[in-house]
Formats: sequence, structure tokens, C-alpha cells
Amino acid sequence: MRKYRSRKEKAFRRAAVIALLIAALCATNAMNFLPRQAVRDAADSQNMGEFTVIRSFYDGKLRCYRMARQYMVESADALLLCAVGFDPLMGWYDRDWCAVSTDDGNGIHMGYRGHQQGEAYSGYFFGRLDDENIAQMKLRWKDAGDDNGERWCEKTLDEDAFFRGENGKRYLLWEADSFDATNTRWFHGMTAYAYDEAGKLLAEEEVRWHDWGTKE
Amino acid sequence: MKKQNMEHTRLLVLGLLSSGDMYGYQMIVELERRSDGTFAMKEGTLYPVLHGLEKDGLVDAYEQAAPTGRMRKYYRLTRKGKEALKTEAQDWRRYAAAVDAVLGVSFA
Amino acid sequence: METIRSGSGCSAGRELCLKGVKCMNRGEYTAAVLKGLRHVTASEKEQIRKELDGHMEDHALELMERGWEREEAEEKAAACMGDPMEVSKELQKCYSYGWLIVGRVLGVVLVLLVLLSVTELGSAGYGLVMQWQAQHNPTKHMGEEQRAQIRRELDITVDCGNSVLQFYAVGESEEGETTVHYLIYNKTPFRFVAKNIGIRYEHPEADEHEMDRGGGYFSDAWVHYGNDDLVPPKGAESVTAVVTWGSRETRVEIPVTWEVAA
Repeated sequence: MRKYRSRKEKAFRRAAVIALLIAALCATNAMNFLPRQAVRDAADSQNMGEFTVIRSFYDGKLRCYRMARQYMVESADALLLCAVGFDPLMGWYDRDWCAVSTDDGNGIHMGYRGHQQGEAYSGYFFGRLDDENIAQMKLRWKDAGDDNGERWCEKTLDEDAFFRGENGKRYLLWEADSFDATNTRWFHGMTAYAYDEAGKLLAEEEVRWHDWGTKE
Repeated sequence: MKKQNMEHTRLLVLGLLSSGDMYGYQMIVELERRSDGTFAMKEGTLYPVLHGLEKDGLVDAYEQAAPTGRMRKYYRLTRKGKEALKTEAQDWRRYAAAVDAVLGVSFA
Repeated sequence: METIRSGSGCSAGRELCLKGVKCMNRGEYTAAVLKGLRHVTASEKEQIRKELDGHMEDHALELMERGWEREEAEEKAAACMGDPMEVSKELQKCYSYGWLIVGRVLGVVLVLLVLLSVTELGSAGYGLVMQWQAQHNPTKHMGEEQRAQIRRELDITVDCGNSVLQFYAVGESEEGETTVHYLIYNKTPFRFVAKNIGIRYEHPEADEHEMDRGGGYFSDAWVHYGNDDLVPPKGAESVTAVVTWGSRETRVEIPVTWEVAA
């Protein structure tokens, strides 16, 4: 005794099986259908636990970034800047990341994530300012220099690099575009210094650096 | 007038199926028998009605072997169909009663 | 309404013949109905054909029981079905384009998704097995040679946030070094190991150079198996493994001695 199914019934059954498979793929972490799931993978790889999204944006500078989205997220004890890309077969996946610990009690936390593909380069400084008195931030590093040897370089960060998040905390996100980023990769360590309005040094922290590269 | 005919037939088919599962030809014969010959529709037009009821979810269909060995397509009422039958039958009775009232005819 | 059929058959036959419509047999009738149907699948058409044909067969059989000749009975049965064009037109209304397209699109999506799922879910299942094996049978993945080098099994577990680090054995390498075997897996099934777990070994009397090792691995893994070769100072009973993850640190004692078989 075989049952007949109307077209509508067939369509609904297929939709139900599709929904079931998608649920199974999500539950087993086999495929990410949403970018946020990939961000969770990146956060997990850095042992971050639960997080909230501070900022999410698009940066199409690198070829590998054209089908990707950038996320800056914060957990209880860390900040993360990551790029998640989309592949039709694999779904969303984490491409690169840089995590900065925020539980060290320091007034500032800062990281840098750079990514190079062929001639194109993309770099972002990101971080959080926990001290309300901070009015200015400077970066200082030792350049590879010229024939005279290594030299110290300094850069003051612009006002528009900072913004206040929904939770009231102050964050920093700055694209190192005009900054000669390629040069900075030949040095050993960059330190960020925070000053108040009067020019007094409030905090300093070594910038957590993470550089990535993708083949063309 | 044509459309009214179809909807009319729908109600009759649902009514037939309320007493048991039937296949197409059986419905034609039953319809004639019960209505004492008043209803003898063009047999081919029964099938669009049945397929339409199937599409709307008022009836279900399944296959069963006939004594001749051939497979027959049987139809049965779904729960939705039973409810639709009840509502439409009520509407019909109300309509018939109203017509009678206007004509001033009483049932013997 | 038309007259009863149970007596001499419906009057439809005579009506159509008077109109000049050709008397058709069963096959011609069903073909005429099917011809007028658009975007109906082959199997749906076959279903309709069988149903209409069966109806006419039943009717013809009944007529034959009353003494009709086969050919005439079939023609009569076909005629009683009514105008095939009208039946076709009404039937078409039940088979709209909309649901066919929806069904087809969903069908394609379903097939692709099933193909994808087979590999992905299969691999997820494999990951689950790996995670179970790590907890219950850690030495299973080792080759014969490596397993023969194990001198002592351990069960030292370190909680590392979302992952678990377990030192499960110490062994002796060919060069006489002490090999510490460990594995890392995520506490949550189906999730990969955290990538920021590092291990270094310390002993107050040790020469740093020979004892220092990092963690460091980069690809996605459900279970990460690792081993570090150390040269502990002479006479040391154990070394301290310093496990770091993020900005946290845990210290555990790893025994580096074992019973030597007599």
C-alpha cells in the first residue's frame, strides 16, 4: 500500500529534511552557516569563552578579504580582532586573529593584526582604554634603520582612532594605512604609551603583534 | 454557473468519502445510487475535483491492489477534510432551509 | 441533470457523437487529456493516465457484463468521461507551476546538502571517536616502536579553560632522553583544541636550554598529541611542567622515574 504525496507535501518534507541536516551540521560544528559561528571558532582557539561583538566591518583590501568580514569582539578577559571568510563548500571559517589579554590590570591593552597577500597589506591597531584620564596615545618602536643603525621612531595616534562602545568603555580601532606598516615588521617590539591631558604618563604596554600571510 | 457546479461536486465527494475510502469509479456508482439517479456527472470531471481536494489537503490518497490485479488509487478524508465537510454541510442545510422558507414549502 | 447510467449507459456518448466528436478508445482518450497538461512531471502524468484508464476499464467491464461488445463498451466508457479538453483544463488547475519549482529547487538543495553532510558529519563522528579515545585509550594512536618506549603511564590532568591537557605517559627515547607524552582535547564535543596552550619544563637544577620546550601547533585538531624530549638533571624524581594558556599558568609535577624491570 503506497501513499501518494501532493506537490506541497513533497516540498514540505524536503524542507524539513534540509532543516534537520542544517541543525545537525551546526550542532556538530561541521559547517558554519553564519559568520558569528566562525568568530566563535576563532575566540575558542584563543580560549576566550563567551564574547560580545564590539564592531563588525568589511575591508576589501586584500583578495582574501573580499569574501570576508572583520570582527572585533570582547570577552571577560580578552579582546580579539579576527577576519572570518566565506567558502561555498565550507561555510564561514576563521581566517586570522589576534588576541590581547585584558585581565592584567593595566590601563591600556593593545594589539596589532597584520595580513599580507602579495603586494597588498592590511594592518589594524585595536585595543581598549580602561583609564578615563587618557587623552593621548603614542607608539614607540625601534626601526631597523639605515646605515647608521637602529633608531627610535614615534607616532601619535589620531583622535578618530578611538570610539566609545555601547557598554561605555573606550576602544581603539585604527587602520595602519598611512603608517608605513611594512617597515614596522622588521623590528623587535612596539610599545604603546598613554598620557593624560597634562602629558603625564599613565600606562604603557607592549603591543601584542600578530602577522599573517596568504599566498596569492 | 460552472464554478458553482464544481464546488457543489466537492461537497458531494467529501460526503461520499465520509462513509469510507473509495476509488474514482466506485464514487460515480455510489453517487448515482444514493441520489437515486439525480446526480450522474460526467465521469472525467470527477478527477480534477479529486486532485484538487488532494492538493488542498482535504483528502489523502493511497494505492491498493484491485481483484483484477491492477493497482487502484483510493481516496480518504483527512481530518481537515472532515472539518470542511461539517462546515460546508451546515452551510448547505442553512441555504436549503432558507430556500424552503421563501418558497413556503414544508417537508412531508 | 443527465439520465441514469445504470440502465443503458449515459447519454453522453450519443451527445458527443451528434456533435461530431470522434469516438475514442481508452488510449486515445487518456492521450488527449495528457496532451493538454503543461509542466507536469512524467511520473505525475503516468499516475493520471493509470487512474483515468482504470476508470474506463471498470466501466467497460460493467458494460460487457450487460452484454456489450468489447470495442463498443470501451468507446462508450471513453465517451462517458466527457470532453477530454475540459477535463484537461480543470486538471491543469491542480498542477500549478509554483509548487513544482519550489519542489525542484528544494530537491537540488537537498541533494547538495546530503552530499556535504555525508563528509562533514562523517568527519565530525570521527572527531567524536578521537575525543573518546583520548580520554580512555590514549596510547592507541601510537606506533609499535613508540609504545615499546613507554616506561610509565600517567594520569595527570590540567584544566586549560575550554580544553583539557593530560600527561598520559613518560617514556625513554633511543638517545636516552626522557619523553613526556601529552594530549589536549576540547571539553565540548565536536569543537577543536584551543591554540594558545604552551608547556615548558623546569627544575631548580636544570640547565634551561635542555629543559625548555614550547607548546605550539597550529592546525585545527580535535585531539592534539604531543611529546617533549627532556634531559632531566641526574637523580631528579620529577620535573615541573608549567602550562600556560592566555595569561594564566598552572604548575604540575611530572614524575620522570620508573621501575626498571629486573
